[in-house]
This record gives sequence, structure tokens and C-alpha cells, in this order.
Amino acid sequence: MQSDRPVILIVDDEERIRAGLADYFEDEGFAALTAGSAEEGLYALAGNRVALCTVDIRLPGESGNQFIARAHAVNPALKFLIYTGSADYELPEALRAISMTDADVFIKPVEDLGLLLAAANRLLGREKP
Amino acid sequence: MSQRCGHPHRPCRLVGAGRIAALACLTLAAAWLLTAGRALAAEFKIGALANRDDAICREQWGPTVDYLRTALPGHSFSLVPLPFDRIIAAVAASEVDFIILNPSFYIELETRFGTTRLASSRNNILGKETSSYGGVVFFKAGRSDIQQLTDLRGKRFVAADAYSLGGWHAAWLELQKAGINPFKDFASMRFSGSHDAAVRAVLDGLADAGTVRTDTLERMQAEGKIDLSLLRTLPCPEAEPACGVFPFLLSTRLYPEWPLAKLAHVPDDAAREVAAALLTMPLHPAREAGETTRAWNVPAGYEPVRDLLRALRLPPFQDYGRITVADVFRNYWPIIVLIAVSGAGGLLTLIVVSVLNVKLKKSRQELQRELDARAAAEKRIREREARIRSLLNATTDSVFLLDRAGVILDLNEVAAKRRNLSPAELAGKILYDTLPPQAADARRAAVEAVLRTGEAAFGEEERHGRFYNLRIWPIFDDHGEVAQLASYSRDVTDYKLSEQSARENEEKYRTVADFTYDWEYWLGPDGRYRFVSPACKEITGHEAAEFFEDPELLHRLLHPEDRGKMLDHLKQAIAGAGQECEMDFRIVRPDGEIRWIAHKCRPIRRDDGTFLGQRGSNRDITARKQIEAEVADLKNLMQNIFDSMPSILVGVDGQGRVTHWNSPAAAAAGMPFSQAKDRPVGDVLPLIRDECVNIDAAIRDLRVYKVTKRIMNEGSEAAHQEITIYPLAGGGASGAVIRIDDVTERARLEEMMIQSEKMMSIGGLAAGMAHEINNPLGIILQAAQNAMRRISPALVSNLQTASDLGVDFAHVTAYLERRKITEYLADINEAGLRASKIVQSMLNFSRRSQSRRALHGLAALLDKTVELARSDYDLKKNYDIKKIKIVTDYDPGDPKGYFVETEIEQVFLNIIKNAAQAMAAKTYPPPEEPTVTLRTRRDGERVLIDVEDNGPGMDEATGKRVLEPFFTTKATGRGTGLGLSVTYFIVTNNYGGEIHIASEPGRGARFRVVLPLGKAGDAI
Repeated sequence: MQSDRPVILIVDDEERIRAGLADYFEDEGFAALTAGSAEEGLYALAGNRVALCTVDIRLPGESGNQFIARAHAVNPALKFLIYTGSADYELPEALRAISMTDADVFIKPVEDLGLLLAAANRLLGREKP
Repeated sequence: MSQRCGHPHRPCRLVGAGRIAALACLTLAAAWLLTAGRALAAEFKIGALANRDDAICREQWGPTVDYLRTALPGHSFSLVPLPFDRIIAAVAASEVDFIILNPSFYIELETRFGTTRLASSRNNILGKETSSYGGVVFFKAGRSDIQQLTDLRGKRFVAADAYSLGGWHAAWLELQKAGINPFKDFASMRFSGSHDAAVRAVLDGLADAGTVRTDTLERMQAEGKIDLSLLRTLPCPEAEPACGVFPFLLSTRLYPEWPLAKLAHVPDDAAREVAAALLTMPLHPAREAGETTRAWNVPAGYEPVRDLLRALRLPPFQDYGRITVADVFRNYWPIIVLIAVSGAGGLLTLIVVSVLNVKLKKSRQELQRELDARAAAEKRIREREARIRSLLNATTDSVFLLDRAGVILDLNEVAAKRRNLSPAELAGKILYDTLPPQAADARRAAVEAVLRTGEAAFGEEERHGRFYNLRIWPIFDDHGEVAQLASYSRDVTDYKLSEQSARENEEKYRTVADFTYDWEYWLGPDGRYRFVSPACKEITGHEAAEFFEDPELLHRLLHPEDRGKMLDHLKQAIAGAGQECEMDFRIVRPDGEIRWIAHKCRPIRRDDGTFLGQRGSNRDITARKQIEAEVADLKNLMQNIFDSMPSILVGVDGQGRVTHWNSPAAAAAGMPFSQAKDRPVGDVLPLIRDECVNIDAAIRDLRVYKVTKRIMNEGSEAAHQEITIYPLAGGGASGAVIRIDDVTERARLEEMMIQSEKMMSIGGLAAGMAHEINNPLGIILQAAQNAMRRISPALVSNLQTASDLGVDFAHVTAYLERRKITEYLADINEAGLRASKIVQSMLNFSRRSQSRRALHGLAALLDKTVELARSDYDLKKNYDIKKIKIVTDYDPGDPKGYFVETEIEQVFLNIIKNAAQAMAAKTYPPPEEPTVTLRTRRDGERVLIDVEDNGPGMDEATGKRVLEPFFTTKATGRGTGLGLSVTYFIVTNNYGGEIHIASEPGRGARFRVVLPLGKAGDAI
């Protein structure tokens, strides 16, 4: 069973965001990894079979956008959701180029975490449990 | 006056001539005795008085002569027309045998030559037969002052001819009998020369009454020359028995018509034959109107004519009442001859002695008379001599009587005095020796010229600095030779000098007058120019001479608009009624150019007050007028600019008194400039009463002073005024211009700007804050959701964990609910969401459009917004949006603009929401219902969108603040207070539009959004 669970990497510099989100996704049948920065995130990707990343944009060091670009370069199959507190965030062309859309962008706080889950399931082709 | 009819006037006929005529008569009578038998000659000449001309004479009497030829074929007859001055001579010389003539003349011939009438003319005039005629006295109908002859006294009278029986003498006799002397008692007495002319004179009013021959008036009426009803005639005199019988109007006695008479030499049998023939001549009716046909009657008695001539002392009775030698001789010559012959012998001796005595006595008397006469003559000569000498001495001329050699025969005192000598000393001297050489030569030459030509000589002479006029007259002897000369010399020095002085003066004044720059003139009281200066040519284009020739030239030159007043003025001026006067007028020159003239004039009078006319001076001020007009235009323009300034502008002098005042100033002060002028500005403009000190200071220190004042007006919002005082520094003038502007609007805009800045900074702040707030919110919401999920039985792992811990999940759930943990978690989630929304809204302030604009019709956008409003969660939750009636009133042209759909939707959604919320607070009594009206109107490149509700409205203060962020009238928790702010930012910031709010409490509110339509490619 353990190996069947899709692995989600949560990249956020806010520890309680990472933890809360990880709990939520684990409750929903995901295996959750967390990283406090883009660098950590890339490190985590290297050792794990991660299917999906939720990425905060404002990070210490490299930004969420840069992380996505690098992560995609390593594993083009990897999916991303953006989960940011920057209300004026706009999806860069580089990320649109890797098939990301505005539907993949969520501004904190989301009214209902179910929206994130739905997006994740959509990206991973999972049926809602 | 021409003589036509009747007796010729013979004023020189003297008594002596009468005697000669009488002797001639005797001689002729004797000659006829010697040539008796000649009467049987077969040829008779019939003379006729041609008182007009031969042709008329032949027309009148030709038929008679023709008839005699027919009736008496044994004789021959010829007609001899005789003018009046030939009649007497012809009769005296027996040049004719018979004669036809007027009664007056006949009387004279009968009296003098024994001419005997054979028949009298009878006439058919206008179908009426008459054999007598007289005069008719007439006057114009309506002259009630003329009733009888005596009324004619003092009137103007006209008669046909002085020698006419019917046309004058007949009436004269009546006048005389009435006691009127026509040559004294009439205002005027004249002769018109003909009957018709006399009638016309009266009709034309040239005379009050007149007289003409009877039948004249009727004839003229028949000929259509007069209307007889316009005339009245005096009645027939009672002395005339034919009154009432005579067929024509008649005012005098009647006299027999013309007679045909035989001269004394014509034998009786011939006369009888002719007389008989005449009496059988038929009287034919007239062939045409006015024609008179004639035949003959037995001879009439001409006593009335004789009486008339005698009464009027006309020839041959001009000496009637005086006994003349001719009369005596004519009457008593047989006795005289007898006495002379019988007494001749005895008397002869006596006569001779007497004659000698008489002669002696006469000689003595004559001698004595001669002596007396001589003494008297000598006395007269002496007196004359004295008179002449005193005359000579009375003159200021010097007079010399010279002989041919120039020796002074006589001289007057002046002549002596001029040479400082006595007359005695000069007498006998040669005149030339008393003169300076040059004058002497000239005088000698003049004298010689007189001697040579026999004519007077004139000359001038200058000696010893004085001027003399010379005249030398020849004095002739009995043979016509110049015997002596009279030399007159008149001192004309003073005259010459004054003439010269006058000439110089004349030249001086003429020079002054002719070279005036202005058009000077002197107009006489008769309206003619006495003087016009040549400068008139330059000004009017007309020479001075033209003004002299045509005094009305100026009248025609006058510009039509100025003509009336100038003509009035000139008329008064010429009448002497004008005063000194100045006026401007215009003339139109011949070339069409208009010139302005400054006219000054005054009446001029001689010292004695005699009015001499008007002296005028006309100056060409066209250039000045043009400048004046430009100045006036400029002034007008300045005033217009001044007046059209929205600011109150007041000019004051150094003492703060009003000198200028524009329309806004007049409006603000409530008084026109005329009232405010020169008054202290503080008195007339209360607005700046407090600023007087500052005005003084500004003027004194030449410093611009400026202040903005907030003025509280009763019942309305505060106004702001800006007062600026600009001291006048230029041109030495002291004073200031005060400018007062209502800056209320500007102040309001400034406030808005500040507000806007404030809101912008809030926007910026919000954006910065949002990120920081969103993360904790994210934690809160995540945590709350996770917590709620993990106490929910829906999550399998929850049950598993409870089971692992040996806890009954149901108990856990019951506990959490009983202790309201679940509820608290829901509260946390709810509050987190609300906070999240606030942040979202704040972020919208500063969020730029991220979508491209596209062309949208306003109607569709508004309709969609209404749809959104109906489904809006908040609205649905709190207000019954379905109950609100939406009325649309879209511009039929459906204005389209480049908009971001969502932004525009948000703009109006917020406004509609606001309206809906406001209307919920109001109770609508049926049939009223809450209504929102959406209206669009295109306005050039903009569209106006009104959102109008019939809610409770708002007061002004609320209206001003309603767009401010976080301003809300709603209960806490019912709204964010950001909706309309977002709307405001989108409209003003993103689209450069405007929002205006109009509302009054109780009257609803209207939000007007003004959006530029933009253009393709707009992307801000």
C-alpha cells in the first residue's frame, strides 16, 4: 500500500503550512515530503519518487518559479501546483510553457483545501476517492 | 400799350395849329368851288379808319364797297384803309370821297371839315342786330364790395384802350357823372391795349374792375374764351332809354355805330346815290361765331357822341370852355373883316402917331431897364466871383489858373500855402518855377499835352516826399482854342500810405488766412461765403472757389448721418441765433473717402452789434478719430476681457478707491461701476473689508499679497476665496488690482487629490500587507480544516486512530460537540475566510488589469452585471434582490468601449449592491417598490452610465465619503466598506473615468460613472 501512495513534495518556507498541508494530503492518501526552500526541495526530489509538488513562490534563496524550472528539468513528468501568499502572482511564460495554467495557481489562504486536492488529483489523473 | 382804335393822341396840337387848319379849310373850300363838276367822275374812293390794320379794315368794310360796286355799276369804288394819323390829312387833302370812321373821329371831321354822314352802320353780332354800342363795366363775381359805379373808387381799374369809345370813353363819362375822376380816384388806372386783354386782366385779378365795348363779353363767351358766369357787370344807367332793350350787357349810355360820311367836295347827287344804295344793302347773318356782319341805316344823330367828347374834353373839345382866337375868328370872321376894312383908313394916321409915341416911351424904359439890369448883373457877378473863390478855397486841392505859357493867372489859398507863399506873391509867376525840377518837367509836359490835344490830362506827382494827383483841364476861348488851363493838384499822400498799409495788412491777413492748416471760413448772414481758406481743398477735395460759387456745396458733402444736425446748426448760425459751438461731423469727399471734421464756430458781430455771419474753423481729425476708434475698440476689448474674467477684478487708486470694476465685481457687490466708482473698496465690496490694511500695505510696499479664505455661507457648504492684491508699479500710477477668485471647486479638488493619494497609499499598503497576512491566514485555515476533518467520522484514519488509542470515537465526537470544540473550529474557519476576503478586496485596489481589454457593449455588460447581482451570494444572503425592480434605459446606439469585462462588472456590481443594501433600509408603501434604473448615454468619446435608486438617499457628507475605503454605514460585519472604493479605483485609475454622486436624503441616489470609450489596443 505504502508504495502505491503518490508522493507529494510540499515546498514552503512556513513550517506550519508545510505541516498542515502534509497532514491534509496524507489524510487524503498521499505520501507527503516537505522542504523549507527550493534547494531542500530539489534535494528531496533527488531521493524520492515524487509525483507532484506544491510550491510557494517567495522562498529564501531560489524562488518557487526557479525551483519548478529546475525540477521540471530533472523530471519533466513532475506536476506542480503553486500555493503562494502573493496575491498579485502571475504565472510566468516559462511555466506556461511547461503546460502550467492559471488553474494550477492558488493564492493563500484557499477557502477549502479540497480545491487543492481536486487540482492535484486532476494533475495526477487520480479518481477522487 | 399799342394804339389800335379811336383817336390818335395829339398832345402838341396848339391853338395856333388850329388856326392854320382853319385857314387851310377855307382855302380848300374855295378850291372846291373852282373845281365843281369833278364830282361826276366815275371813280370814288372810300376811306376807312383802319384802327387795327388794313386787312381787318378790308374785312370789315370790303363787303360794303363790293355791294356799292354791284349796286352802282356806273361808278367805280375802291376802299382806302387809312390809319388814324392819316385820316385828317387825307380828308383835308380830299384824297378820298367818302369815309367810314368811328363816331368820335367823325365828330372831329364834321366839326372841322364839314364832313357829312350818309348812313350809320348796323351790325349783326352773335345773331343780334344793333346799330348802337356803349361800354360794359365788369368785375369778378363774388365782389360784394362793388355794387355801383361809386364803389369803384379806390379800386384798380382797367380799360381796353385810351382812345376807344366803347372800351373807355363811354364808361369814363359815366364815372365822371358819378363824380369819379379815374385818374385820381382809382388805386390804378391802366389800359390793356385790347378788349380781350382787359377782360383777362380782371379775371386774373390784375384789376378789380374794367370796361370794354358792349358785346365783347358775350363774344368771348361764344368763342369759348371766358365763362361769363364768373363776371358781374354794373347795370345800365337810368339815363339810357334803351336799357332793357339793348341785347347785350350794358353799363353806359349807348352811342350810334360808325357812320359813313361824304366829304364836303362830293356832290349831293352822288352822295344821294351812294346813300340810297347803302340803305338797300342787306344785313347777312354771320357765317361763323364771333363774326360781325354789317349793313347800313339812315344816319343816326351823333349828338350823344359830341356831348361825350365835350364832357370829357376830348378832341375836338379839348379846349372846350376856353375862347380862342380861332374860335372867335371861326365864328365871327365876316364881321371882323367888315370892321377892319371900313375903319382902316381913319385909323391909319392915328395908329402911326401912336406907334411912334409908344416906341419912344419904350426906348426910354428899355434904357432904364438895361441900366438896372447891368447893375444887377454886376452885383451878381461879384457875388458869383466871391462864391467861386470861396469854393476854390474850400477845397484841399491846390488850384492854379494858367495861361498857355504856364504863368499863374490865379490860384487858391491851398496852392499858395503849399509853397509857403501868399497868393499875391505867386500870381504872375511861372508855375514850373515853383516846382522841383523833375515835377516841373512833368507838369510842363502835361500842360503841353493838353495844349496839343485839347483834352484834359491826368497824372501823379511825387515831391518832397508827398504824393499828388494832378488834373489839368483846358479852358477854351470862343474859337475853340485852349486859352487857359486849370491845374488841380490833390495831396493823396495819406491815402497812398493808408492804401499801402491796407495792402500790406491785406497781404498779411491773406497770408495768414490762406496758409492755415485748417479749413477756415466766414459765412455771411446771406448764406454765402465771404472767405474760405485754401486748406479746404486738402480736406474736402474741393477748391475754395467752389464754395464761393455754391454755398450749399458743404450741405451735399455732409455725411448722411451728420447732415441733419449740421444743417440745423448752419441754419441757426446764419440766422444769427447760433452760439459758440463745437461739434464733430463727417464729410464724404468726391473720391468717396470719409473725413472727420472737428468744427468750431462762433457768430461774429461788428462793434455796433451788426450780425456779420458765422466764422468757422474745420479741422481734419480723421486720423485722430481713427485712433480714437481704435482706442475705443481696445478699451472695449480690454473691458470685455476684464468683464469676461470669472474672477472679481477691482482696480483701486492709491487711496483704495475704486477705479475699475468688472462684471463679476458688480454682481458680487450688487452695484454697477457707476455707483462704486471712487468709493473706498471696503465700503462697496464687503468681501474684502478685512483686507484694507493689506491693500494699503501692498500698494505701499509694491508687494503682491495673496490669501485664501474659507467663508462660511449660511445654509450651504463652506466656500473658499482667494484674494490677491497686485500693486500697480508702472507708469507712476499708484494703486492696485484686487482679484478675488472663488476657489471652492479647487479646494474641493485638492481635497479629492489628497483623498485619492490617501487611498492609493492604502492600496499600496494593502498589497504589501496581503502577503504577510495571507500566510498566517493560510496556516489558520489549513489548521482549522485539518482539525475539523480529523474529528469527523468521515475520515477512516480518525476511527483507526481512536480505536488504536482505545477511545470510542463516538464519545470523542460527543465530547467535542458538547464542549463546542466543533463550533469553535467552525468559528476559526469562518473568521479566517472573512479576513481572507478583506485582504482580497484590498488587493484589488492596486491590482492592475491583467486581462486585455476587448470591445464590449455597455448594455450587455450591465445586463450581465444584473445577472451576477441576482446570483450574488452576499446579496442573496442578506437582501431579497429579486424584489428589486431593474429598469434599463440604454442609449439606443449601444455605446461600445474597450473594457475588461470583469472590471466593469465589478464596478457596477458594487454600485448595485450598495443600492440594494441602501434600499433594504427603506419601507416602500405600495405601489412603490425598490427600483434601480440603469441608464447609458453616449457623450462624445465617453459614455455616461447612471445607476439610480429610489432608496433613502444620503446626506452630502455621506455622499462625499461613500467612496472612501472602509467607510460604511452598515452594521459591523455586514460589509467590508471597500466595494465602492474598488469601484472608484477601477474607474479612475484603470480607465481615467469619473464617478459623480448625486443624492439627497429621502430622494434616492444616483451614481454616475463616466467612462472613456477608449480605443483598440488600450492596455493600461
